[in-house]
Amino acid sequence: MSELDLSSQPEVLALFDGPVSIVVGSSSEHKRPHFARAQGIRSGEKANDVVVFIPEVTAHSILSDVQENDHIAVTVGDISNFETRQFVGVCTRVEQASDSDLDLCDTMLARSGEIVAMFFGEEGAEGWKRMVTRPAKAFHIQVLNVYDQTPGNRAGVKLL
Amino acid sequence: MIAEDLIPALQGIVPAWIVTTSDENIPNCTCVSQVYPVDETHVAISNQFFSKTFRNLQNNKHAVVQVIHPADNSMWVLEIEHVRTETEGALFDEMDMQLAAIASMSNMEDVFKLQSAYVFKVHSVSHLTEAQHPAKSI
Repeated sequence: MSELDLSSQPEVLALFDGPVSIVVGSSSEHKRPHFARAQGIRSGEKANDVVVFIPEVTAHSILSDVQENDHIAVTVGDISNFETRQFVGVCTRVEQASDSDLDLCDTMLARSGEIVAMFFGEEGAEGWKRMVTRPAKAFHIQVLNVYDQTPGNRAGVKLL
Repeated sequence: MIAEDLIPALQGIVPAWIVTTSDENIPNCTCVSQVYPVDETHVAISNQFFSKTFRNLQNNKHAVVQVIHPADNSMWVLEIEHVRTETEGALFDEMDMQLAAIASMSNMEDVFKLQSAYVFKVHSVSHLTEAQHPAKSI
C-alpha cells in the first residue's frame, strides 16, 4: 500500500492555518475511549505525518492509551465555518513540545479565541483564552486515513 | 451524577465531541450538536449523520463525550455507555425541537435533521478545571 501524502490535498493542511478546534481520541487496550483537547497542530517531517500538542495537564489518558494501543484520531474543525477533517493513524512517538511549538499553540489559541469572541463576545471568549497551553506533549502521528467530518451528509466520507 | 452546574453545557450552545472505538480498537472522534439531559444518570445524543460512530457503538457501547459550558468555556468529560436508541416518543420530540433551535442559531437548518436519539448511561463526570488558568479576580 502506498503511503498517504497529505500535501496532495492542500486544503487539508490549510485547515491548520485557520481558527480551529482540535480534539484527540484514543482507546485503551480494553477498548475504553478517551478524549483530550489539543492546542496546536502542524505537519510533521514526512508527507504523512502530523504533530499535535496536548497540554500535559490533560494528556494523561491519551499518553497511557498510546502505550497500549497506538491507534489515534485527531479531528480538526474550523470554528468559523465548521469545515472539519479527521486524521486517523498511529502514534509513532511522544516527546516534550519545543518552545517554538508552544508558541504555535499560543498563536492558534489566540486565533480561535478571536472567532469565539465574535460568537460569544469578549466576556464569553475569556474562558476560552484561559485554556492552558504549556507545558505540552507532542504526539507524532503517522496518518493512515483522512475523513471529511464536516457536519452534514458528507461526514465520515474518506478523503485520503 | 448530572449536577446542576453541568446543565448549561447540555444546551447545545457549544458543539460537543464524542469518541468511540471500533472493533479493531481504532478511535473515532466526531462533533455532536446535542447532548441532552434525560435524567440524573442518563444523557441522549442526537444522531444526525453518524456513520462510523453508529457502527462502533454496535460493537462497543462505551464512549466518552466532552461538553463545554457556554459561560466560561470550562470543559466536562462524561464517560458513557450506550443503552438504547429512540426514534420516536417524548424524548425524541424534545430533542428534535431543541435541535431545530440549535440549527437556526448556527444557520444549519438544511443540515440538521434528527435521525435518532442515542441514550447513554453516564458512568462518570469530570470537570476539567485543570485545563484552564484561573479567572482573574476583579
